[in-house]
Amino acid sequence: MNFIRALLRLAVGAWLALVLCADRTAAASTKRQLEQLLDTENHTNNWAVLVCTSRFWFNYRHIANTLSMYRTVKRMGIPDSHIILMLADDVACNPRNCYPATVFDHPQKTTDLYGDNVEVDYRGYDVTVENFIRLLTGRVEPHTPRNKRLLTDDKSNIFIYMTGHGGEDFLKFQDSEEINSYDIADAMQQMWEKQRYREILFVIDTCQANTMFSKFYAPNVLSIGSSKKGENSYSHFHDRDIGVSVIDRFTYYNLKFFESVDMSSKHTMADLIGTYNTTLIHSTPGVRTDLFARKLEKTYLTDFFGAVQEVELTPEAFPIGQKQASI
Amino acid sequence: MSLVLSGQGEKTSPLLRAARKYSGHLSYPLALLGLCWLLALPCSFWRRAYFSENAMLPGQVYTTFGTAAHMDAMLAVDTVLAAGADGRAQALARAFGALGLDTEVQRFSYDEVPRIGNVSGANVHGILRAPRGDAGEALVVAAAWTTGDGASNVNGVRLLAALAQHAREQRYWARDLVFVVTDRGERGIEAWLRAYLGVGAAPLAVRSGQIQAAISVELPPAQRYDALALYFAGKGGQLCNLDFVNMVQHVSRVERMPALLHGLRDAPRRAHWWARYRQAARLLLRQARAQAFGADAHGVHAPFLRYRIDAVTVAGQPAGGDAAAQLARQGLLADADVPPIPGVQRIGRTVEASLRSLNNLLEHLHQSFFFYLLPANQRYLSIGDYVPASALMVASLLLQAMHLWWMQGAASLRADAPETRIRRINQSYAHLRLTMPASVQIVVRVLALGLGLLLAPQLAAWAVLSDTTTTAFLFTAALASCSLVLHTADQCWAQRGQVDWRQLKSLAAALVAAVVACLAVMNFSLAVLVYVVAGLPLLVTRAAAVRTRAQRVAGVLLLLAVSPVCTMTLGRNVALGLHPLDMAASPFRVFLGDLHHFGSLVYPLVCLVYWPVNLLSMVIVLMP
Repeated sequence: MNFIRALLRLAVGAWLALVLCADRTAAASTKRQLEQLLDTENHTNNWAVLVCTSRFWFNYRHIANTLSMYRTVKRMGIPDSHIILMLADDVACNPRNCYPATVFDHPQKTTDLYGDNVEVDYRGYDVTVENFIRLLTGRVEPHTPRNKRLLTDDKSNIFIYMTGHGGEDFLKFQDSEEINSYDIADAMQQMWEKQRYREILFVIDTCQANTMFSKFYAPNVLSIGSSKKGENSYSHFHDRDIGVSVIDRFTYYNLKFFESVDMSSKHTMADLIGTYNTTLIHSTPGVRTDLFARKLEKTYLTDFFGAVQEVELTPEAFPIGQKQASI
Repeated sequence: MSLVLSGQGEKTSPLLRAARKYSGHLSYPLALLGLCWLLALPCSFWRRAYFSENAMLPGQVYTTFGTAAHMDAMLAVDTVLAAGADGRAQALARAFGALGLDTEVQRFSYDEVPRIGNVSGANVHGILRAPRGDAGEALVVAAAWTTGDGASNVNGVRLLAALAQHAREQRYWARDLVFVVTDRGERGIEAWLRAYLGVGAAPLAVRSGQIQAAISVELPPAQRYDALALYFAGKGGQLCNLDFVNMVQHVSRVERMPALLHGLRDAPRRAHWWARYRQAARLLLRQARAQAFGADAHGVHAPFLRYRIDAVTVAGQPAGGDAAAQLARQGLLADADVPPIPGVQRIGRTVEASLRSLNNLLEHLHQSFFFYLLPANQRYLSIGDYVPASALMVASLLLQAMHLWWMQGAASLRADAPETRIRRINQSYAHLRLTMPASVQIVVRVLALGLGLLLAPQLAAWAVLSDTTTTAFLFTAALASCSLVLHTADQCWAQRGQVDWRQLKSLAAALVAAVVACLAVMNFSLAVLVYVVAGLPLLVTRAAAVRTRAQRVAGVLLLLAVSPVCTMTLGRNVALGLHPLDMAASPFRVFLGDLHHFGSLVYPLVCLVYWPVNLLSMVIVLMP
């Protein structure tokens, strides 16, 4: 009798041990599965920082450039909460605008860029060099509202677009100050050290734009500029109704390519750069790939311009927040 | 031994000795070089004009002036004309009010010259408030009822009414537009400006903000205009910003009725170099005349420039044998018979495009030059190109002054021996103590005469300045000057040891050099003129030794020939831009009036520099 009881206890103990071990291994395997899911090679979120550094009526086209990029980026799926738009915003309601409360980028005036749902985060005199660098590096004041912060993490892809008047190694901010290429390079290095991005696409449309990214040294940055050192960037359409130029050539040809791109497209950066035509743009665009890990042929446009999310389906439900089965 | 400085008790350096010996001779080539530099300016090596201000965007927008509504607005001016000369101001105010402008009539009166000739007039202005602007600034479009020549400017007022109608239909004004009509020409606009800016006169009730720029319109009666003419100089020689001039020229070319500087066309590029030189020289001389004297009045832009408001006049230039224009100039054309404006669409669109470009600006024009000479349409000479001429002229006078200061006194003062140095210093000091009071006294006496000449017409309330009394006044002044010269010369001969002509000439040369140098930047043409009539004769005074009485008399007669009375009598028509046979105008009265109203410097310069220096030169010739 004692022997049978001992054998029964042994059997129950062994079964319990087996069950517990099995549970643990099951937990371990789902945990491992989850870890595998999260430990992806790709980015998980997209941000866009669109900066127009000019003000005044005769710089209408820079505002139009930035707003066109904003519309494209939104159309491709990045929500307003992930877009930082910096504009002087003095053009739509300028008394000199004979189409009040509108901004157009084409003389045919088919799309009003300022029509509905434009969320400007930094407007007017807030667009300064200090605010831009604080935004990138994350060193904002404690009272800065959420929409003025760049809340990126180490799996974010950031698209930075800058336009305005520039020169060799500098960019003019609102007629009173300048940012130079070393400042932006240092800011990006800070971002890398603080793990605030995974990859950056830096596009700049100004005169002598390629000099602005010549001093970058942080890794995983792909840069595209509209003109090389000593060259000007030119405006494209002149609207004789409004009396100003409404778009710049480089931005216009980029937008033209994006008309054929949507959220599901498999176009790559190499495709985009391949369409650049120096004769049409009237300046020599430049690309800097030495800091960028991936090949351009393997880098999809939607990596930067869209908000494509990878969805993984597991065969069983994963108990988030529930306690383990206990005995 | 140092090359330039002489050490204690040593011989003077060879360089210094050579400088002292030959510097006097250097002043004549320098003066000649300065004059040759001026003569070289019309040669065709000028720079092409360009736009400095990016915000202007000239000629890049469609112009919309010229609809039936705008032409009909001109009919309002015809009803105003029907009211006659007295009720004109009120009728025009009502017409402006009907167009939707805030109007006011300003009645003013002024003395033509100080305390003489009470004249009264009325200015009417209407303000179009910008619908979305913030009324911080204003643009002015101005016209007078008569042109500078005395012809009727009814067409200019008509264009103003049409422009007002056009402007009120637009939405894009960032600043208010002020339309002003005056019936006393430049003096009327001066009175209006003082009231608007709150300077002195009773301020206006209906006002806008700071005036950023002004365009004045002058359209004399004609059946056809050859071209538009552009005038841009102020009364005191101030020039408006070159961007403004270039902009108006550009937009007028877009409308295919080019605005030519002072109405002069350029010589064609394939013409002979002499023809091109002559045409450029003609344009430069017209500008020099406008800048130095400000006397040939075209349009009413000139008073604005004194208050640092950029202003130009766009004037229609009648074709050569135009009958209507000739009748109008003789005053034989009634207002009702004035033919309609030829090319009104193009002129109106030119003014509209200029206003649109000015509207695009955010700040006052400040990017381009304020000191320039324009030798041809679309070419410019910046201050660095022409001011070296005046620098050379001033250098010649200064060199002469330094040389004469060194050469004054007995020859023993300039000996080389180092052991006599202390004694020479004491002797020169004694010489100065003896002669300086006399020289200073002569200069003071001559300047006092000039001061009397300047102040007497302004203080004398009882003298009626008609042409007779003016002539009498000037004749008296001339006689007084002659007697002063002769009396001073007499005194000098009586106290031979106490006067030194070299010292006096040195002081006079330094005075003229200082005046010309300071004036050269402000008003280059006037500075060159002062040099040519006062400085050059002084330079060559007693350049050769005068021993006999005949030589002295000849010298005095030559100086009389370049005296103010003589030059102004002979050159009056040229200086004032008058018809060659017009004998009625008086330069004295014109310059005195300009000083009184516009602060023009010509009369003070004549009284305090030209006249005294001329007298000093005569005294120097007559001295022992």
